[in-house]
Amino acid sequence: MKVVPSFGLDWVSGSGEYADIVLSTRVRLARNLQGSCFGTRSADRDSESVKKRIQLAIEQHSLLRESLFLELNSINRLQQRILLERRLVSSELIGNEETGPRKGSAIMLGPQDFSSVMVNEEDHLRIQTIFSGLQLRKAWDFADELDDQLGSVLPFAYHNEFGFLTSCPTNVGSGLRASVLVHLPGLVLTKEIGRVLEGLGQLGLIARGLYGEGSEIVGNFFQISNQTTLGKIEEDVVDHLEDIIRRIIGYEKEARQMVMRNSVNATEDRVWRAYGILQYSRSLSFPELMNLLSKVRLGIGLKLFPDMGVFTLNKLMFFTQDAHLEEAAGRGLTSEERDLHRAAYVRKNLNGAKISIK
Amino acid sequence: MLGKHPATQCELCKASAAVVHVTQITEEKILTSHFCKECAANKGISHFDKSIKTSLHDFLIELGNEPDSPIALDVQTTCSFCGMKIGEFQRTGRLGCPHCYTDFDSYLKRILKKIHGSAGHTGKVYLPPNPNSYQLEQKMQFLKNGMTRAVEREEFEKAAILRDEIGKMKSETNGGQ
Repeated sequence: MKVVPSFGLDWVSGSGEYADIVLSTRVRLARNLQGSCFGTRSADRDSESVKKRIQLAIEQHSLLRESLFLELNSINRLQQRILLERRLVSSELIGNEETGPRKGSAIMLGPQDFSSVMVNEEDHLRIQTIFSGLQLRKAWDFADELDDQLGSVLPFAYHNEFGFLTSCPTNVGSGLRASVLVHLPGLVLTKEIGRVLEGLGQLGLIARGLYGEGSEIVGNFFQISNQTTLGKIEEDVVDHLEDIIRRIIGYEKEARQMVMRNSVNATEDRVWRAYGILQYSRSLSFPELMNLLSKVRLGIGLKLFPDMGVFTLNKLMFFTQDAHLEEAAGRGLTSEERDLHRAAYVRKNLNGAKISIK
Repeated sequence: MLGKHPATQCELCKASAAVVHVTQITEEKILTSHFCKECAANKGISHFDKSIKTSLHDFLIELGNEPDSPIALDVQTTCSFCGMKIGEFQRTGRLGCPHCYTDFDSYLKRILKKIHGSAGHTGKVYLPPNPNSYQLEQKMQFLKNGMTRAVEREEFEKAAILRDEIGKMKSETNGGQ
């Protein structure tokens, strides 16, 4: 069974500003309903009733009813994992392999391709929008609008002094987390990255790995987001993040120029070797793939591949995740098989991309 | 030391749970190491304690243990809606329901100030379904402030949208009276 096969893929397109450095921009808003315990404390039947209230309200709203409301227990494990790899649900929401999702866990996909709402995660609603490249204001504006629509038919828990109430006090107030996924190989190569990350803390920002909280840094991707949610106007938070991201992009570009000035041959060699391995290898683990793609992505930034866009690389990153490979294969795969399928997918799609070798 | 890590053992003593996570970034790879508090201190990685809170839980306990802190006395305070006790919140870092914010009001204000550097919301004002006149007034004020800010920043398109929104709200409330 397929769940809206193309949903949530908009951000892979490689469009938007600085798409070679910024993979995606994301905004999420945490909201809860009045009169119900938060997800972390609620019994199954409470979560069920929260889900029903939300579902009913959506059906009565002229725009929201265009979305697709999916109960996670109504789809199989593979489809749940696909939603996770598309970053539409969190690993908490789909639960672990044995238990699966908790009762009442659901996701609203849409109404537009870039928007979705997790239901019964830590908070009753997690509204999110995701865009390709650096598009913070746009991501915020659409999340804000979706929040208005949902809030007009659902009574949110709101306090005059504390703002929007959330399960965890680190999210209370705006409930806003704006984050940008950036690729910073230049700063890693020049060893400047440590200083940049250290500086973020003083600016009220925090860096995480590719899959958000708790994840490791892979492929030189860093997810940078705001840390606090109380006492600031949302637009200022978003603008502040954008300002810092633009500065980081500036540092990254300088670092790349420095790398090219100091070791042009070694750098080009590294990029082309990575490209060669991607083109010919028969088995690739996901971390290895990510590191190779990082080098080729740097090569695109350095204009070594004039005819290849980041879309190709985004696609390679996206469709070679475990669940996506299993879906394409039409069956479950062992870890060894996955590495073979991953390499095969990369060979096929990379060789299809236009490359002119100078 | 970025973000939360799944529970792992200390790499050095292999006995205690790792609470200090160090990410080293070199030219070729990124290496993450996990240590318990003692081993980290022995290795001289002690500044983590001060600069970064390993978890909200530690942070809350630490806050409750501050001398002259009234917080320690409050652990038995119970939310009248969901039955959550402050002590339980200190362990889990999660509140039970929206009403906890009312019943733990003075305690939370201190915590929020420490976490966010502020204890008051200044962002978006919520307009619930079937709002009363106070809620309408609050929302209207927020939109007006937003319009002034947009004009100051020369974001005239945004200001025009807000102006229309305010106009619409005015006519709706007058029509409803």
